Amino acid sequence: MLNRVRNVSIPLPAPLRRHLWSHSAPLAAAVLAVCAAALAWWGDTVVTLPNLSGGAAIPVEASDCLPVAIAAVVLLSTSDALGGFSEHAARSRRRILAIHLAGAVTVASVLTCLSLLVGGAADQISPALRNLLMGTGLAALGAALLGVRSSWIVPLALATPALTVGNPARTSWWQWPTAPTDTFSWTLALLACATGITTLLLRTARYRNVLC
Amino acid sequence: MTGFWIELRRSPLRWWSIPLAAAALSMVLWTGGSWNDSWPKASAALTRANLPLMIAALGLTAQRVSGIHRSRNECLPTARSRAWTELTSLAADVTWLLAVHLTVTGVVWAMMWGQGAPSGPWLEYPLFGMCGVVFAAALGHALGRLLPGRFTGFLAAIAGYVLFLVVFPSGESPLTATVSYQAIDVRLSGAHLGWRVALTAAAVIVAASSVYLVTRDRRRPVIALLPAMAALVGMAAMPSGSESPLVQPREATGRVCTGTESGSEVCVWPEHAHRLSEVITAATRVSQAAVGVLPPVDAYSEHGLERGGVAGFTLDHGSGDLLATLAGEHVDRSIPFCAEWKDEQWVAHSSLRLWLDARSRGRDSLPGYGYQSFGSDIDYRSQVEETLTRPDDEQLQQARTWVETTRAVTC
Repeated sequence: MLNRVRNVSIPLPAPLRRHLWSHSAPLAAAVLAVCAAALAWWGDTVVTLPNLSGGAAIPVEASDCLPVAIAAVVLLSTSDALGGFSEHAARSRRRILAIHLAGAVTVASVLTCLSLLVGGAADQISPALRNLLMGTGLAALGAALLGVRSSWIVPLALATPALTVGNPARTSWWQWPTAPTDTFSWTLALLACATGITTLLLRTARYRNVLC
Repeated sequence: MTGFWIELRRSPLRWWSIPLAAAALSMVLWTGGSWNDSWPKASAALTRANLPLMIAALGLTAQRVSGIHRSRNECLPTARSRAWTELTSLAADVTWLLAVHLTVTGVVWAMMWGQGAPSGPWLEYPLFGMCGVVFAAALGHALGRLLPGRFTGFLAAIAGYVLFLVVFPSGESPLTATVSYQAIDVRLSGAHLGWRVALTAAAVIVAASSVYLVTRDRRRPVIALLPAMAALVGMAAMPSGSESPLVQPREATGRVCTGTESGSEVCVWPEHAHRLSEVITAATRVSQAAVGVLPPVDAYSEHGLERGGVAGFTLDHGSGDLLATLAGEHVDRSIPFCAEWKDEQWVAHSSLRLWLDARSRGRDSLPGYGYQSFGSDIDYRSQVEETLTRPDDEQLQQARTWVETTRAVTC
């Protein structure tokens, strides 16, 4: 394993390279790239979903949903394959996680904007970024409560009502993926993002006590 | 059975079953309007619980199995075959998911029995739901085994959304999550249910044999591919599309009838026996509104009971729709359709239906919904609206004119 890490010729500082490698960054990047490609391809596509509440069918733009998936990938990328080994790292896990999250959210935001620009759906950038932040916050909250591997469950579960039983004519706060972008929805997204990430960071032990 | 009990205890779905039960119950009880009018509606409402259960089954089972793979636990020596071990694991997950489904079913049935709804539950609907849950869990199990990794559960859940909300559209495919349309005169298609059961069985076999596709034993994969191929061929061949609806007209094997004060007979499906008084009240209003224009009719039948299942009143869409369809039934029985009618007759016939509907509601304006025009593109609503503003005598005179116009051409 270590030999493979040493043989990788990526022009990055060694600690960052090792961090990315231990977190299977190429796989996360590949999944992120697929999501971004889908966003570029179907960004302005409207899919009409059956309304399980019996009302009018629910028109959903792909640019509303895919950022939530990207947010889930951001959180999943924070898990490593080293198990308990990383708990005894020399640096604070909390700090490493904060840097990782900041970098991943930045990359995801840039990718989202670029994908929508390339796909000709620049007007969707605002709701897409809002949903990315909301999804990140909820996924972080999920990671804090359920663990990183199950973090995707919370944003997907909370997005489901908007896609299945929502009233397309009159959106409510719980229909956050399809709600129009206004000050309230942005405030909600920023609040969720801040709360989720803070909870996750507080939940993450700075160092594991090796004597335990 | 020991292995099964062990798997049952270690399955993470044990804990997920609690929030899933809450979500599934919410989908039945608090979405989709009134579900407890009759057993057909309650049976169809039960399928609304399927969507969260199927997506969760796909995502959580895939996540669980991919986690087992990553821990290399599948390599543990066992006296049973590897397929049997896979089946045991899948059975444990499915048991928790089905426990949720059956709990929701039990709650709904208990509520229906508690309020004394006539007739009984339609058993193929819980079977439809259980098949969907098992199918999704088997698919998730196979995905988790074939593509293990930390993204597996998440990607499987996304696949669940795409499959059950977009690819298998509601009401047209045997693999859809829910029965979206349910009236009293239709019932789940036997052919679709058969396909669903068959594809579920194929998916379970695929899940059990998928372990051989990732084994290093080169002799096994070809055999293990057969169930997967069978499942794919089955999915390609299954009936689907708008021409093959998930529900089909129901055979009328019984009816409940009673007489009104005007001498007409009112007949409903056995599941609507408790709503006969509601129909009698509405039928009385319609027949009183028709006095002086049309004679009383012998019988009013609920949709699907008579005349090839294409006519009759409906009880499933509210009291306004009941009056509208009863008014239509009254006019249609008094003046049967004729293929030789011209625009003039069609307009008169449709005007009469609309006028009688408005009169039976006691309104002097048109009912607030789009009215269907039969046989003609001419908009007759403005004339009816104008007629409704006149004194009663003039209205009756105009209505009699419509009757004479339609009866001028007979078949």
